[in-house]
Amino acid sequence: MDSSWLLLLLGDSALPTGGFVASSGLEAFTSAFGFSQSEMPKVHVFMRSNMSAFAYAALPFVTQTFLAVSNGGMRAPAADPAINHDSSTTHMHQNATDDSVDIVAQLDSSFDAMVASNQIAARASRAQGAAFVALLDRAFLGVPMGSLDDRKLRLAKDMRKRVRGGKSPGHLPICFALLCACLGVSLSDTQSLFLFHHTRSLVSAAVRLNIYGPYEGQRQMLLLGAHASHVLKQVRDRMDAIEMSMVQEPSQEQSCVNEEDEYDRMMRVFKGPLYREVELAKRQSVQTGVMVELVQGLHDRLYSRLFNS
Amino acid sequence: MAKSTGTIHVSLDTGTDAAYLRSLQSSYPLRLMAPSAQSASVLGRRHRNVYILSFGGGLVGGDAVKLRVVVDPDTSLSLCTQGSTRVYKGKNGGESKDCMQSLDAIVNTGSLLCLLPDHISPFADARYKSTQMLALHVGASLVFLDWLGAGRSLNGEEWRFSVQSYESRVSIMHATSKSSKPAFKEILRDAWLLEHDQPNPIPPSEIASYASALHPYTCVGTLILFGPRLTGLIEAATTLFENTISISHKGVKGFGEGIIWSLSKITEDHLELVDSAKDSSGDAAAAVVVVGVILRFSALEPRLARDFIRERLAGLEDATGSANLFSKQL
Repeated sequence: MDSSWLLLLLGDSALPTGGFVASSGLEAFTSAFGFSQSEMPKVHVFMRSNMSAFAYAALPFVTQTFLAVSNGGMRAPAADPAINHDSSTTHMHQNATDDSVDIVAQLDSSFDAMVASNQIAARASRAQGAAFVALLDRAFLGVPMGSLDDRKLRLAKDMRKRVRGGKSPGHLPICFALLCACLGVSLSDTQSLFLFHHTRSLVSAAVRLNIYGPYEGQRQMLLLGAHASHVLKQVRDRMDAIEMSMVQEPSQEQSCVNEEDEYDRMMRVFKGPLYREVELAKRQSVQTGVMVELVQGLHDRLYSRLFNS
Repeated sequence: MAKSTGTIHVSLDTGTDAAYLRSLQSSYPLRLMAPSAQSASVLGRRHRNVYILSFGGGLVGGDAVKLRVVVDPDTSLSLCTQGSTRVYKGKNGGESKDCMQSLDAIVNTGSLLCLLPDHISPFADARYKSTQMLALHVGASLVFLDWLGAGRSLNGEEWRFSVQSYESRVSIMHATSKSSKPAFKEILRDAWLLEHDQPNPIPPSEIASYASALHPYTCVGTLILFGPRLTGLIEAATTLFENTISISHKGVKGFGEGIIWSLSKITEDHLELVDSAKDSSGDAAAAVVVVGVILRFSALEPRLARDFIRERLAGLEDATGSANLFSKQL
């Protein structure tokens, strides 16, 4: 299929993504700090740091999920067989040589720890993740596509089952990347599209909150496109740098010394997850928006609200 | 420039029913001081205070300070600093170097670890990196405080540091019944990166920097209260947040002077291993048990943030049986 057709389809605002109930803290921000004309610069700062914060925290998980789904996973050396890591599905797929089901589940669980400090962001991320899983399942999985092989089909079905059964939180970055990888979107388009969806939700929330008029909203979408390329470049550079530094450091087996005591052993197990993709995503993902995080935490204190985050 | 390692291990002496320091070691530039416990109560006897001091009152580029902590069952430990930790500028002989602080802790069942440092005060161009790995057994409790000031505001240095990077992980260790093998779940990962952005192509260029997003606040931080020994504090904070703070078209209500804050809950179901997670489709109505809270705060001045922390920790003396840095009587 023509790749621009896919992008147009996935970028269409008619796509049922659940994104339009999310304001990512904008509603709380403008309610708490106001948005009169003189305060517009503050809104601009908020929009930009919101996009950056979202990209820095979530894109590593989008990227590593995408790669695990597209290429299949390779098991890294087990940290310690005596310790049962929180790898939920190991026993379910013993026959498969490919670990991507496990990796995706662990990425989901790691992202859950990352957003655990913000119950409102976590709630919004799960709701939107569920929307993408449903979209993939109900609209796309039955369509014959060259990109959708048996392994990806199994991954998608497994994720749907886990999310429905409450076994996996089903966060947005993981479910979004799963959908894009199944449809054969490229990695770089997946990353842009992810940030585009978020930005459009923000701007559309701003229009509905009457901060921007409809024309100003479109003008902002164009302006924020430049900011998005800037942020994408920064996050990609950061991800590359961290991947490089991980390649250069000695492997776990080499670094473990003989006279390791109980304390060291526990800490090593603690720090060393099983999969390279998961370790990478954890190291690459950071929060950057101090005020965005704080203000979004106030959302449920709004006396009346249009959005759920 | 120096690398330093320290160890603190608190144990319970069953003979005297008092906590003692099985191990207390450190090397330059780190210094640990443990005033003797002076409490009559059982909890107070089982609690120890340790002060983390550093020569010169701060860290320079290239410093690496590593601390490992073990808190044995039914004891408690409070770690404090004397005054804020200054982070001097990162440039050292032309080369920019990070200063690094790391803390690994194992907190056992029934015990309590209170990390109560004063705030970090980064000078212009400072580069600071902190890593904290906190391993809690089921039934352990934790007070976690991490806060950051804008720097030497009086010298006009406000939010002028180069990089601040924080990573704190909290994991729960379950002892699984079948095999008695321990199993971990990372329940929280709080990772932050604040750095001066590269020039942004879109005008106005300065708005991409962390400094503009933080203005006018000069002190930001996180306070985590977690575990069975802090139930009272957790409830008090939650009630205050949910009952007094409201935002409407008339404005914000319920914050103290010069501070804004928000609170997020950690519920019991979040601690469970994914394997044992119940089918959540059926019991959505089941009562949600709050086992911890995470507070984010931003204050116009560090003094106001200190007041806020003191108020949230009111009652901590009852949980440790002894006064802490933020107790009123100190």
